[in-house]
Amino acid sequence: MGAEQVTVVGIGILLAFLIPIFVVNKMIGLSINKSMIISVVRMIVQLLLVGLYLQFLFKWNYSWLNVTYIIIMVLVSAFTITGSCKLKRSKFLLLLSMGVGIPLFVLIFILTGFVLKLDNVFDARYIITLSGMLLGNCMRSIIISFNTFYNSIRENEDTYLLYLSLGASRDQAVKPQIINAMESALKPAIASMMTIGLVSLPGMMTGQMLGGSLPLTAISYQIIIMVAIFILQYTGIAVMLKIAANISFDSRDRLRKEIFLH
Amino acid sequence: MNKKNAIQLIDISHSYDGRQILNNLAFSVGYGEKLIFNAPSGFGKSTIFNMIMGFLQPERGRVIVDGMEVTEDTAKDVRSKIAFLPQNMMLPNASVRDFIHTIEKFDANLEVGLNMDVLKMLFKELQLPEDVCDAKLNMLSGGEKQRLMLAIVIALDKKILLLDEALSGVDIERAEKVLNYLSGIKDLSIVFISHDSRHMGIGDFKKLEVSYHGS
Repeated sequence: MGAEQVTVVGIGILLAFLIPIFVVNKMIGLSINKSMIISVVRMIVQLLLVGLYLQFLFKWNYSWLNVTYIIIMVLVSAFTITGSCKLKRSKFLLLLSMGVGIPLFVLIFILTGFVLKLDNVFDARYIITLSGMLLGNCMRSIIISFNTFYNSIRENEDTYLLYLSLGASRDQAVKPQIINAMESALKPAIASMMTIGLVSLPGMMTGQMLGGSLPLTAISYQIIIMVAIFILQYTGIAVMLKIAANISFDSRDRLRKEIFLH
Repeated sequence: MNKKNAIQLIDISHSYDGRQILNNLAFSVGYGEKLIFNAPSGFGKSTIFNMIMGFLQPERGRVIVDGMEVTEDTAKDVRSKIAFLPQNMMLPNASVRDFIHTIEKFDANLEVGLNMDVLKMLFKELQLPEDVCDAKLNMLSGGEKQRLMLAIVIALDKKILLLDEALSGVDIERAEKVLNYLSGIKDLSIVFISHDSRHMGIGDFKKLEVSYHGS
């Protein structure tokens, strides 16, 4: 049993409901209309393109192409993180790509090889979809953790310098900021695991059930995904914060201003 | 390198955003010498302390601590000889006991550690509550925090102590006791910045002489 096809008319009916929102925004002076339209158009175009090339990727299912596609996803996510955190790409792009990419590949092959026990661990239907879900969540967490870390260092510079003045090494002096950044970035993931199934039905599970999977099959995948997301978030954040703590300070232990975009 | 002085600043000049803060400044602190300095506002005391601690490179001039020129390579070693109590402190949200344990485990304190006997004695001298170790840092008043930190930096048993307005929250009788106690530690070199002229001349504390060569 497959899901009912969504027609263009159906999508159009739903999009029509954005018109009153547009009008209300105008009336109350909420200036989000331009960004709202751009984001909806971008979302539709991007998803159409993804759907199009995923169809080809799934059909061809070449291992090298699937791995290459994931590498491109990792690079795009590293690109997005540096942009969101206003960090210089020359310093962070490669390190971020490796800091996220290596744990991602390890986790994906644990999932496909040992948890799902697939015959082809490079199967596009699995590794590309799983990587997309894991990367998207990991990227958001790293952005939160980096922003919290650097803001915390700037806002608490007195505490950082006090720790150094009392004999702390740089790692010891930034530890409170690293803990703070990890807490901020992991809290949403923990909260989402806490309420999943009670407050929200996750998109992947809903999509699987709409696609005809049994609820128990959909749930088992969702459990795997939730745990994998948390593992990758935790690993990605911990690795990247450690790297950030190493490259963001000069030899006198002051925050390097040149790592940020001006 | 000059081993006569615990700290020596030689012809230091420094500016921020084109504004000259220090111009050919020079002073020295001998081993075991205790100096008090009534720095006028805008003098650049934070800049000087940051240079001694190796956080800041002077545009011109040299800083020498215990015979070692403070550079990028030596900053860590220099810091291990100094306990510095800045005027502005943001303390973490932890209990006093946990905070003391954290400081004890800092790399530069592993060998000597905190002198707990001195710490307890100072807690009493500085009129900190008996159960201060059980308190949360953010529950202490500004004055209590200052006295607590003063006790901790003294108990770190370092060769050099830099104090920035460290006794401003302490009454003069208690301040006198602390300064007399510090005077009794013969090997300890101290630079103490204070706006309170009553601190001048207590114990072995002498006025710090600063010179400006060719400015």
